[in-house]
Amino acid sequence: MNEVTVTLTVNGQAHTVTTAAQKTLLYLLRDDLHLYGTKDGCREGECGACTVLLDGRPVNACLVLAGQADGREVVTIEGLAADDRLHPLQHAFIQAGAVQCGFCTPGLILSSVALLEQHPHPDDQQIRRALTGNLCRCTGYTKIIEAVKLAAGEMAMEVEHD
Amino acid sequence: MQSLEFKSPGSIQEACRLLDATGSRPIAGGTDVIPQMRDGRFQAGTLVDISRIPDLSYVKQINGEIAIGSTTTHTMIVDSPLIQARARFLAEVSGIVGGVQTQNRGTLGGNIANASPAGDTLPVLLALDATLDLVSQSGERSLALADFLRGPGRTAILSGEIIRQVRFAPLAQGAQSLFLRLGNRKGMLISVVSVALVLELDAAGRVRDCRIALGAVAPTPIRCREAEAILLGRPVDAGLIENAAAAAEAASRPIDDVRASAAYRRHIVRVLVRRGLKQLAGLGEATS
Ligand SMILES: Cc1cc2nc3c(=O)[nH]c(=O)nc-3n(C[C@H](O)[C@H](O)[C@H](O)COP(=O)(O)OP(=O)(O)OC[C@H]3O[C@@H](n4cnc5c(N)ncnc54)[C@H](O)[C@@H]3O)c2cc1C
Ligand code: FES
Ligand code: FES
Repeated sequence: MNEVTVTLTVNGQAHTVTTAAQKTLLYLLRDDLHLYGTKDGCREGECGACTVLLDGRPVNACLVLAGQADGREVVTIEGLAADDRLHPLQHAFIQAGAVQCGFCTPGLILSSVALLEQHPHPDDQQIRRALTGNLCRCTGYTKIIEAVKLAAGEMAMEVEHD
Repeated sequence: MQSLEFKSPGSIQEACRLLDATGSRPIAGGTDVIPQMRDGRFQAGTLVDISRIPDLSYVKQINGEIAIGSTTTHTMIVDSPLIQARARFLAEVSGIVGGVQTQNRGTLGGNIANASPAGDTLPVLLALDATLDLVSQSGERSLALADFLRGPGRTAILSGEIIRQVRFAPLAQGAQSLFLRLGNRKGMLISVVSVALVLELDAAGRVRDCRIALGAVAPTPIRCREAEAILLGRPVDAGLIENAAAAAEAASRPIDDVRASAAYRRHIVRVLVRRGLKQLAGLGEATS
């Protein structure tokens, strides 16, 4: 079997991993780095459960080959909380009741993190567009959109206080 | 997936050298390759990742044309002020290829080389009369997109060759463009029917430029020259648009499949062409 050696930063920490060349970033994270927060829902780019940030942009980890992540920076759901303080989006998803089974939640939160970085005060349309690649089979999205708005408000307040 | 070698060249020359070997195939964003590899529709002994080559990713103006590097992502196209200003429907279509995640990885060159009859940028690029510049170990050549597309998943590309860039003349300042598609849901893989339209009127309200291209209704996306000819040079009105929409319907050769019947697809062509042209002509039929 052919292998690749990949050096990448995951949640601020550098890793060098030698793994099968056909492995995707999704299974590099789960099997090699034991980060199980990135979910496997479809393996074909349809559901967004495997969303991570690759150099700051949301991508489906199931559609990135391990070798394509070489030299890059990856952020997974495990990388969002600072010490034991949840990221405002994590907090807002809980507060708004935007989580039912929770399978879609890591992906939705990472897509939302990228959105709020680009548009700190998104309107409904911007939120919907940012989340089109993330399916949720439980909630019906209303509470998810509420959660993103809630977090946007909180993050704006934090900026003011800084 | 079977065992596989992965190479990440840093230059076009190195990529061409690696692709010269049997069993070597390019991968860019991987949004088509990876699912196809998984279900056995894409075979390669070596994948050559061209997505990291710096001089393949750009949108720029060269000799009065707009040139887009083949590994330019859909996101870069959506965000490009040049595309927004002079080929707006290309920015529109890249903005609905899958979700944001797919747009961040998927490339224009990948959409073209994949040559799906439902590849959404293809009707837009046909309407732009796009030319492809191809490169391989044995040199460079250029080919009109219309000649490049040969059938479902089939193109004129030679083994070892890659698309270097896509180029086309920018639309006139006064021209308007539009992409409409009817699909099953947002973020989905395949369009049921899509339509790419350009319309430019002169000061007297006569059609100076008109382009109509259709996706997913024939083995390759097609231009409807007959429908365009109905409008060209004439003052635009609802009756003329109806005739053009009927000509577009007549030009389509769709298939029945799990997504829609042929008869339904033909009907949708007429509806979308009529609706789009009316919108571009300011004859007020709202799009949904
Ligand atoms: C969830 C999802 C939704 C999607 N929605 C849409 C949609 O709405 N509309 C649509 O049209 N498509 C859609 N797609 C398909 C896909 O995202 C696009 O076709 C995309 O543009 C492919 O680009 P890529 O860089 O990922 O191609 P890859 O997968 O890297 O490559 C595709 C093919 O092109 C070849 N190739 C790539 N680059 C070159 C090059 N420069 N020269 C020669 N050959 C090359 C590869 O060898 C391969 O055969 C969707 C895909 C997913 C996963
Ligand atoms: S597991 Fe990657 S998109 Fe579904
Ligand atoms: S909460 Fe169950 S899929 Fe979204």
